Amino acid sequence: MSEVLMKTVVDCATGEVKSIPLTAAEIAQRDQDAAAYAEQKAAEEAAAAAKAALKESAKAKLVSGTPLTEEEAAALVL
Amino acid sequence: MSVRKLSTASILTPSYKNSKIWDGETFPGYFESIATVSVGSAGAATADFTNIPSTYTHLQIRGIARASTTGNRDNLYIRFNGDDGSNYFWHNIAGTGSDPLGSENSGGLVSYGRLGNSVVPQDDAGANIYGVTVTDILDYGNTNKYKTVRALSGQDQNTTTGRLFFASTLWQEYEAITSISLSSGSNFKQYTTFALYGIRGA
Repeated sequence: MSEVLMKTVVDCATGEVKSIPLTAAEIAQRDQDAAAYAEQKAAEEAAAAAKAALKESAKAKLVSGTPLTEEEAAALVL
Repeated sequence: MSVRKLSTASILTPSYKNSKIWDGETFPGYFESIATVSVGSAGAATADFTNIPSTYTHLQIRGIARASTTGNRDNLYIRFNGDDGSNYFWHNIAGTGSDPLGSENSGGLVSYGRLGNSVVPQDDAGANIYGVTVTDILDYGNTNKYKTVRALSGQDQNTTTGRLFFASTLWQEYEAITSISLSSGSNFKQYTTFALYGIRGA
């Protein structure tokens, strides 16, 4: 049996708290949210890793006196 | 003892009998609890406030949250008045302990606002760790302008996966906010709690 997804709702006028099953549309929206977040999280992590690699490369080139690429220079300058 | 008469003088220079009425500093009612959603042992896909009164100037949400499933951490989404159309824009700055990470919904309007990326620890994060948010929803009843939200959120796991978030959301609708829905990509776990407050005055 599949899990019934519920939402917890409080009515601010009465203080009544209810547990209500999600509609099909709400479940579909939730799946979209999760997929969007997974994509965004992967992109952010990839961007962070790429930036860290650029900084390391730029630092190494600075120490050895090798010219930096434009990307490497940008990674060192805010 | 019931209060039969209360004058300015009795407040400013209280006698013994009425000295406990007002401490001379506090203005009760300027920041009031409206309602609180606490998630029970069965978990909840969303935590919602409905029938929000229009009697305040601003709203504030103070919340702690943890989510089921795995992936270490999840988003914290906000929607107003049941609107899941593409009417939201958000920005986010994440503090990671090294370089800050900035992000936005660069593809245009989306169907949710965000109170910070990766705010909600999931089941495979450190045990019993919850993310937090303090979120302000400004001028929520003004029907002449779009609504803006700012959030200070974060989670820490005693590892490098901790994050501090400063986030903003724009909801491009004029209608007064009467309901709020909070969610992550998976179910909120037990002890997740969101408290809604109303702030009076300018």
